[in-house]
Amino acid sequence: MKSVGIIVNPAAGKDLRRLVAYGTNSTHSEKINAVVRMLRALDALGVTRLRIAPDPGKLGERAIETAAEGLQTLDAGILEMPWLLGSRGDTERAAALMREQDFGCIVVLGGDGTSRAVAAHCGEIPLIPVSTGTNNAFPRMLEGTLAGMAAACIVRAARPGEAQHRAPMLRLLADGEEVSHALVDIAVIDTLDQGALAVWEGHSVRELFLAQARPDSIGLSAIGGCLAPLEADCGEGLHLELGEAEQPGCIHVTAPMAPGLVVRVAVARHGRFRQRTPVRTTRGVFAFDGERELAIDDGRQWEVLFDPQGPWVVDVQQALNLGRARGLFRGEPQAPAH
Amino acid sequence: MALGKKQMALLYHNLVRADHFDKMMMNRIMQGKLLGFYHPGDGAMAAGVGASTFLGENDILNPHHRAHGMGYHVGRGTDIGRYLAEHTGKVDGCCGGRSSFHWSFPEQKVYGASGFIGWHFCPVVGWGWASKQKGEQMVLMASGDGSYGQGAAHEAMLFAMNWKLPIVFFCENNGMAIHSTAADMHPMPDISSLAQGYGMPAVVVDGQDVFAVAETVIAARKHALAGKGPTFVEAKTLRLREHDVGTPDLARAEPREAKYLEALKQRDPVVLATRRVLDEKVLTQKQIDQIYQEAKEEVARVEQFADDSPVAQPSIEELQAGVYA
Repeated sequence: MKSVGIIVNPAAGKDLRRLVAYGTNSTHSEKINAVVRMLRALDALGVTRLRIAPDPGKLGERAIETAAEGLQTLDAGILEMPWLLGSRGDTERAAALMREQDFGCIVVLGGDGTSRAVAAHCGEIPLIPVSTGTNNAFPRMLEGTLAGMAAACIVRAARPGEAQHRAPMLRLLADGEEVSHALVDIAVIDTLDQGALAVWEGHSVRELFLAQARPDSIGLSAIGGCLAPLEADCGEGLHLELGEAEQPGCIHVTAPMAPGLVVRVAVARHGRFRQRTPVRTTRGVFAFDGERELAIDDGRQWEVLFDPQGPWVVDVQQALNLGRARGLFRGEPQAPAH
Repeated sequence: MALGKKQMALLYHNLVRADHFDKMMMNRIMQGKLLGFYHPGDGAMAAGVGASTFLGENDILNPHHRAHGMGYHVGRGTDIGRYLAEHTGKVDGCCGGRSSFHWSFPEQKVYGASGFIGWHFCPVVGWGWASKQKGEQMVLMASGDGSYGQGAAHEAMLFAMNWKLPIVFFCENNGMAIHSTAADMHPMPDISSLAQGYGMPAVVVDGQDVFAVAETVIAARKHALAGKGPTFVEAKTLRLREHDVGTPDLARAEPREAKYLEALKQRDPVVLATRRVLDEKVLTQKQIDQIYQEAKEEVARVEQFADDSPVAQPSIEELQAGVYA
């Protein structure tokens, strides 16, 4: 049976948006409790091996210590990593190690940025992204027990590709070469607004490429979601060019940019795209899934590609149904499917 | 709210200056050219620079003890020559050369340091109360994770919240309190979770990212000046060296692993900030070289000033005049 991995981003759900936009405080004690619930669910459904990525705050150790007494079959431990730097690199290295060790499923606790870091390094391992971040377009609000049960269904009852789908993603190309990617949105931010990594002010966004756009999400993608939503599996992305508030011809869209921060944004143009689409803005900074990261180099040709073949994501309801159909919840657990 | 290129360039400039001054202090204590101690801030200068560079001139600043507040002093614009003269017992020191690293610059509302960790929680409530009466003034109180083991920390947060005082509790959490690890000293890894118990808005920021720290404290200051009360900002940082120069670098009773400390240097804030200002075309390499050159020259001027200043030899009357009670 393949191992289950858990990656918890201790920094998710704690940034500046607690001050400027009343974002939820995702406390460490609640993250630990969520992991404990996952451990109990994995154990109850006969998973034999779990490894949690280490973090400087020792959230994983604390969860295992809390859950240890009640565990029957689960060998729960911390993924061996040489040392931690307290940065996104820790998450990326943990995901890469889980891929090297052929894990069967990874539960990711964090926001869009955390899922993006994991997705870049996890290869074909299906993810269960659980929201503990601020803007949660990619991960979902999901009770820890159910996340653990779904992960157990994947490693115990599902065949490869069952109860999961490939999420779309966006790839940023410079002169035809991929330089970065995003799971939800790539934004071009005005060069005069470059402080912290998180993007939370709509007026600084000049251009937006979306892999998903739903009106029930929060963050930059909600602008698209509140204007021209994308249906799931439509195979297309959404491209928006934002204008100034008084610019004639603009559509004014009211959208939730951050928790408690519903703002009006002027959209000059929008349309769906599938193939490579040029970035029109010539100066600014790229933000990937809400985090500023890369400056536009004037000398290069920048394009965004919509890729429908992004990371594997577990469909939790389907996974649980699959587990039920294959007898995982009745009597003795079935033999693993792979 | 967000930072423009000019502000980013200023932050970078101050970070490089603070880093140079910190290294100057380390060199001088090793050469026997400082009185007392030096608690190096190597690899942890971004938090102080980011927190203090954009404070208003009326704001009260209470710097952190690490690096003897160097990042805060540079951000605030206090006179590093007088700061060094104080550390060397010279008459031109900010306190007449009598305090070593228990400096104070009251004329700039930079209130000092003490040998007692967590001493400041009670005074800060008073400063906060006074600031609220005056208006257009707030308090930035900086301390480390270790100080939040003091009972007074909780009293201060309670009163600050009840009275909606304009205070930013700024915690540099480097995971170490002398030889004790924060994991051993606190049940939860985020010190900011304590503030949440008082209903105080609390955020965690990467203390190695000078720009992120600055943007966060600007937002916290705005919150305070708007009369919305205190906030808590926790800057996650690190400690590359021993607690104070000359003592062993231990975690519990064991030496900290050299390979680990070497790996941590990837997170040096100057390295990170340099990459960012180049990548985002805030500065050119030529401008960065110029900033480094100016920082070296400034260090030389500051040392010359302190070295030229006469040794303080106060009379009995002068000493008695300096005794408050």
